Amino acid sequence: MILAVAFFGAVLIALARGGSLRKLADLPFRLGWLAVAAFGLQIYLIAFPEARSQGFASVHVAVLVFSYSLLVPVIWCNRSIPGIWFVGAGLAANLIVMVLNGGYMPISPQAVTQVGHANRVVDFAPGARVVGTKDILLPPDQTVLWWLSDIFVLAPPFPVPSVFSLGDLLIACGVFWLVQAGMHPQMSAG
Amino acid sequence: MDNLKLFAGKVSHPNVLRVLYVMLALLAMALAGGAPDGFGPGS
Repeated sequence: MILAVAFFGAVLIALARGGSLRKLADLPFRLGWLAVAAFGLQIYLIAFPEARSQGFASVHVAVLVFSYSLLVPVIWCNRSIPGIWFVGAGLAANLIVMVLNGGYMPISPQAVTQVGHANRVVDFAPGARVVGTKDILLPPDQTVLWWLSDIFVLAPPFPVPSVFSLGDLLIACGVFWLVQAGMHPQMSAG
Repeated sequence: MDNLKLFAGKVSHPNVLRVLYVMLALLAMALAGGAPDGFGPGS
């Protein structure tokens, strides 16, 4: 949810700065349908999760990695749009840490507890899936490249409690930049 | 009914549809590329 908040926050900020939604129509964004398809696949995976990570033997993991690969041509075809490289870097960071840890985004049991989402976990054993997310529980000492995993905690009383990764932060920055440039075309024109 | 037709007419304007498509695509790209501990609205 934190990324949806970042997106709509970027739109509101652009409007407050005098930008216009109509200008988004002129943004030469291509292959958007592929991003929507990737998101659709992930909605299915999250609605019907497996209880524990099966690693790369799992169809779920294969489909999740495939859905990420669908975003690569979207990034490439839109490489001239400001901010898209941040989104690409964030995507790559998330994909790398997920692939190196069995296909899902690692999150520590402490972070899940800290953010108040312990009720989403069936058991706290390493490898357990966190319901409604792309995450698996993994202690930091068992996580490859733990610093790319979900480590940044926005705990209550923050209105949208969340744990996110460096990749998520890059994606949020990229989308923010992209929305500002799209709604204020003079910004990207210099 | 007339108001509904007026609204439908405005929403189906190519520019409005293009804005909705771009917004949906950007949001989908962010949510599909990201991996926070919540997925989308409601999570």
